[in-house]
Amino acid sequence: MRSRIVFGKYIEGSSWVHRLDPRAKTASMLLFMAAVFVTDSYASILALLLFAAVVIMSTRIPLAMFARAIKPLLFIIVFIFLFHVLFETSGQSFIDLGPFTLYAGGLERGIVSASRMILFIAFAAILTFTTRPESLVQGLGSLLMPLRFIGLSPGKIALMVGIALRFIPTVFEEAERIWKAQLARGLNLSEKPLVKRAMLLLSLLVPVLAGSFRRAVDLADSMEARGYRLGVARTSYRALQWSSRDTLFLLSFALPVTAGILL
Amino acid sequence: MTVKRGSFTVVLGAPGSGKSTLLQHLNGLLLPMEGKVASGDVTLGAAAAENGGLPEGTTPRKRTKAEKKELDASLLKLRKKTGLVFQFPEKQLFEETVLQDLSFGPLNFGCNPQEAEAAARNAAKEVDLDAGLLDKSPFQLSGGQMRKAAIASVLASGPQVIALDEPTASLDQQSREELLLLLKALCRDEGKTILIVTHRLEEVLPYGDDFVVISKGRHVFQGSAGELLGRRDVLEEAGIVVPPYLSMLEELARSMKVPLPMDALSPKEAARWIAETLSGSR
Repeated sequence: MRSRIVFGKYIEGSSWVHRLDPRAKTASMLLFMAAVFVTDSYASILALLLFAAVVIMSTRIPLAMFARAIKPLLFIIVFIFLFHVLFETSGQSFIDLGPFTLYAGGLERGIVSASRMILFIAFAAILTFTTRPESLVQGLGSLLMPLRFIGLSPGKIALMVGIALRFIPTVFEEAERIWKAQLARGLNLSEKPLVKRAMLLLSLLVPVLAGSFRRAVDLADSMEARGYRLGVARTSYRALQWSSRDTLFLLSFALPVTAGILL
Repeated sequence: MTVKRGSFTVVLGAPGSGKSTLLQHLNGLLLPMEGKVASGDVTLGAAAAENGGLPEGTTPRKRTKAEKKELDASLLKLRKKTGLVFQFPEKQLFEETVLQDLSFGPLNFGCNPQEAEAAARNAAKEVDLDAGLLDKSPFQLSGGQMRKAAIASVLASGPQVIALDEPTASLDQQSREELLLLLKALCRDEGKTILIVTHRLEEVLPYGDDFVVISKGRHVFQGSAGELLGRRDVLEEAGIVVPPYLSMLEELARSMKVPLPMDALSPKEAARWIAETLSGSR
């Protein structure tokens, strides 16, 4: 179950993308998301796709991994594409298909929207593939520092995100074990009607949730026992280091954003 | 390896040796990639693996509907016959009441609700679980009670073979002995086949009929307790700790130049043997 989900995984590597400061990567990703958001033409989306391709190539992570990250969302992407193609009525009409008439504008919007989704996922994947969860969280905490001025604690938010990321695989593992225990006791989904199947899947949630609460309490106790105090300044094992390379990377992302707004 | 019907078989192996994997094969939760698993008239061979759950990286041939149905049917049959108790089974309780949890298995295997409830109550009695607890939520039980309930939930389906993954882990000494005695009784009085997976030799030594050692995913030994203790090389290589009292016994036998007793398998028997040997009555 858990091995099939690649999204959010870190993939060991030594490319220059891996070595960038997590803050630079997170900030660049936000910039890129903004750029993706404002694009609405073939030309600009093509430019962004090319740009993304360059970054993806430089991570030296096999393309197949990115494909696997996109795969679970393929259905939604196809749906968005078809929705635009079938129901958008701008531009010139070029094909008549019974009840539907396809328009050039619709095709363009469909392709752009689908590409947008793909770019979103691909970039989120670049970030998580090339950044250790710890560094990601550390970078996030550092980026969120300004929130202090409105009374939020960046440390708390970073801690929550960090723990959530850390425990995703653990929770999956637990769910898988409980699932297997139910199979062992003769659970046979294929013969059950759909509603009943959904109910049985829901029943998985009870022990998983109970386990998560138990684990959360244990974790809090063990952290406190080792002297962890919330809201106290801490040093970190890997100090974040911003180099000129990070500035360059961030600036290079400003390029597609401005281009996207201008085009 | 072969497990005899009605035997109390112990599978020993260090952590990571493949014990749990082996156990999941017994129940068709994992399907073999090579070789086969045969139990009664159900055989799961590598052919089944081709159609079933394959590890990641390999693309399985899509099962046809008929094949899937056939596999499901034989899996259900196998799972009815073999009850599997996972490690820390108390974490798997999920129903609203203990009684419902115990009835889950029987209901899946085609009992009507009355039969299922009777089976559940019976199983609770067998593991010595207080009947008053049956209407409580599993989460109100103590750790030891939850463990018993979880084992009862497997017994309730009336399996011929009961396979348990480290059933005594994190139980106190008394509960451990109770549990092993219960399993021994099931084996002796009801002719059930018991298969225990563990890395703690000392606690199963007095109970097991047949011992299997696996190391790094391979089956390296099968035989009686006496034979096993004679094969220190096997134990050492598989990373299984020999109980201290047995090492002491061995040392003693060597220094006193008397043969090692093959029947002194529990600490009590070992102590008696030492006393008898020292006083010269042996």
